[in-house]
Amino acid sequence: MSRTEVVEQTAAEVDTSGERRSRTVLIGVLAVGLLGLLAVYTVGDRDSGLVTQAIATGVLLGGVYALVSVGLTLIFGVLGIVNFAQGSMLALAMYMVHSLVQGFGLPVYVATVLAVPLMFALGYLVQLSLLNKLTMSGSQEGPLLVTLGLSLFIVNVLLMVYSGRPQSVGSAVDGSLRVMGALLSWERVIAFLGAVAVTVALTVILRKTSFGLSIRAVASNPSGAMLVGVNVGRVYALTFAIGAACVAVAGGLMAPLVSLTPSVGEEFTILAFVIVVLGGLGNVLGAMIGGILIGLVQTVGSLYLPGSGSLIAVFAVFVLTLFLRPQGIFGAAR
Amino acid sequence: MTLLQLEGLTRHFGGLKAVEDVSLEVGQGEFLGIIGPNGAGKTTLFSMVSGQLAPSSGRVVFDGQDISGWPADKVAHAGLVRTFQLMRPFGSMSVVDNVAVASHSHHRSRTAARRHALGVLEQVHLADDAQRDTSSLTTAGLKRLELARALAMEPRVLLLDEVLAGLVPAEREPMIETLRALHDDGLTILYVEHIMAAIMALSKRLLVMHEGRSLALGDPQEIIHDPKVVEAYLGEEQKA
Amino acid sequence: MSVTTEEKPASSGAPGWVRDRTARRQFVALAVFVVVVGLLPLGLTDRGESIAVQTLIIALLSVGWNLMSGYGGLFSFGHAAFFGIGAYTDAYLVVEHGISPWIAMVVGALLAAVAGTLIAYLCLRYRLAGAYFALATFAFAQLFLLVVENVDALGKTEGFNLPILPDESFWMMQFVSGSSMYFWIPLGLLAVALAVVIGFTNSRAGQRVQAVRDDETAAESLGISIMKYRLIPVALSCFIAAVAGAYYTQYYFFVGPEQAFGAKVSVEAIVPAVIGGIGTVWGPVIGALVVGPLAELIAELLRDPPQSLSFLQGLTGLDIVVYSVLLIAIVILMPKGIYGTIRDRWKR
Repeated sequence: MSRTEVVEQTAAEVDTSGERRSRTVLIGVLAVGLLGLLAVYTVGDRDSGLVTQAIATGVLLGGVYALVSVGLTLIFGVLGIVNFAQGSMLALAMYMVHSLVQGFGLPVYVATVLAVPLMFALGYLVQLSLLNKLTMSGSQEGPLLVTLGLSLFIVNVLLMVYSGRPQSVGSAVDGSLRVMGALLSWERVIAFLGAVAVTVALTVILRKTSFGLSIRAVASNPSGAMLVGVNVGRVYALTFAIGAACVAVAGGLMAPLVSLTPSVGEEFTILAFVIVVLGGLGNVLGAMIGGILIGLVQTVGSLYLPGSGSLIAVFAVFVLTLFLRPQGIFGAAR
Repeated sequence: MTLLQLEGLTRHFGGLKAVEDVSLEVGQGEFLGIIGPNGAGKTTLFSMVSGQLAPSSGRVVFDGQDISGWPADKVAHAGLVRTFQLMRPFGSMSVVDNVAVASHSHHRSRTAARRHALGVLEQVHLADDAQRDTSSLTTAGLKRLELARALAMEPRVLLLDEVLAGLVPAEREPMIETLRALHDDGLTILYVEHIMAAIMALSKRLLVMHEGRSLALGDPQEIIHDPKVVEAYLGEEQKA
Repeated sequence: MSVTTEEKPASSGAPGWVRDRTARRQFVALAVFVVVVGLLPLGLTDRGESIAVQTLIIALLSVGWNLMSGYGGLFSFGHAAFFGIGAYTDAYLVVEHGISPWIAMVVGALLAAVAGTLIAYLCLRYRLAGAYFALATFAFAQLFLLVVENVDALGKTEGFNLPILPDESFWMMQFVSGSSMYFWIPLGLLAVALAVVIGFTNSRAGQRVQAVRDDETAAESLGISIMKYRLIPVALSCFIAAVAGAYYTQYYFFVGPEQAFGAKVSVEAIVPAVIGGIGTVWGPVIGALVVGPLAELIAELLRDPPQSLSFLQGLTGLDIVVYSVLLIAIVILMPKGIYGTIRDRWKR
């Protein structure tokens, strides 16, 4: 009798009880979060108008983070690749949108729609030509190093083409929305709604389509999937392509909000990893919730800790999550 | 004299009982064969004795000392050393250095360890391949390497997990002779194997396991004619 | 009672190769390397020498990384954490307390070794492996960066400037500008680090470390403590990385959060080893020799470019583009790196 067989069986058993625990943890986290916000209002010693604004900004910012993270969590969860190029791909998408807007006078959101298939194709090619062989050989470090190289490559090509001078795509929509006294710019609201739409779309694709089924099959057992006739290499390439397409959406929706430089994506890469681990590998919904959580920690935290101080809290949460719940707060998607 | 004693050894994986209440006494210098159909719990039993798995309940007593739950490296130092059914060579090292890693448990200097390792390789007839990469070894060579590494620990009890699996019949006989020589030198051996000819040729006593339990224990010739063994063990074989 | 001791082979009967001469050959190569490279300052311009020093610092950092990640098999994506501890400990002790950089260097290295061992222990204890281990080390480096940026005593985002002394002093590691000592000191540090690597990998402990890397379960069943032999190379590795950091501060008279703890530093620890050959003695050094002068070589090439390349003139970022293409190509086509591939060819 083989030992691994038995271990696998136990692992499967633990999973079912783990599902219940995940739900408990989720409720726990939400409760703690709400209590925390309540505490900030009542005994936090800060103007309640400011707090409302911070929460609203935090939720919207979280949406933006989630937008970057959903693609990453898909790639990490299915391919097992720590995609360090995610942030640079975001920058690339933004510059694409920038060029389409400046060169052809297109509106930002139209340019975004055009950038999506371009990034999809690019992602497909990258995975097929550079990563597939390493991914299939089961190497962990190989793909990580390739995406690291890719990240350096993209950022510096952008630097050569566009120079390091900050640029702007201009605003997409003017005006803002007033909710419970907090002022929210339409651009941020649209970015948030885009994040929700992408999350829903991905969830539907993964859960309801046969393509989603083959992705999930490959994620949980590549050799088994291959045996039942799934073209694993193609699924890998398509998954990476979808991840890249998500980044294109993110880039387009975020472009009006940022000052554009080649390294604009870097801070998002780091935060996106935090969010992916928090949300659970490959868990698209978890990435959404994780994103909002981190957005809130950052904006509400900055009421108390100036500068980059609030990020310390974010990383402390990250390290603790890695050690205590590496499967993420919400568990890995099945 | 009893060297190794298992008392009610049990291991559960969730609801599955991989090994259930196995008790056994192994004397100094004994050669004990262990057989049983796939899934009978033989490897799990080995893993508990050698420390890879902690028992759910029961004890392992070695030379008068309770070693249950000890980590594997400590068990190996105490003198209980196992081999693995699937070969696990250290891929970056030459054959002799693979063995020397084990020899280092008794020799600090590299030269002394390598010299000792070479001696062990001679014992298992692998000395000619000493300087080669492990990737160039055949299955038979890797099985011998697995055995050599365990021997280099200078064990008092050797736990062998299917050292003949994957060998063609012509390669089996020399291995059986090697094992017989080790036993003749006084080494205590527990031997899990599927190949009955080898078990019957070497074992002085035989343990039959079935569904995690000890089904029968005793003289090999008598045991294999025991009706419940024939039913449990050979019945399974015919199904397979 | 044991079986094999009875027939211990006669030492006279053992063939000559039983005495492993790998270490001796590598020590000889090291001596040649030190002598040849030590003569470099005689023929280098000031600009050339500053690039050479930069290359030596990167080599030292990467030699350190290689011990933990190449030989030890734990992929660190956050060696900036340890480089940074070395750099900041040195700056803090020298600037605030006037302590000799030599002592500050050792103190920082010990701190880094303790921090690295602790981090690795926690990661192993909670069974973080592969990508998760890499992410955890990356997170710690970022955490340290943020902490330093927010602590007044560590100069926040300003960092530290070293005072310039009026006189030369070996004890305070200060010499006249352009002195070859600024080159020989890091060369000496690199030589010691390489000697440690050679001695360690060819020792009993080093062999056990490599056994654990190759197959944990098999190593454990041969009486090797996994935790212990995972952590030993981590401690050594972080120690060496911190020495590189301390010398960085000394050479540039300045250190700030990004120079010490930035993600770029972690990348600089990894890339030379990958290009040269992970888990080999000379890989990180050869990789650093390729990567270190690359920017300057390209700038030199474009100063007077052939017609077909003239469009590249004056573009920033080209050196890193070349570097990244090299990295990707090596990982895909030569996973054993330049040195590893050549060595394997030659052996056959």
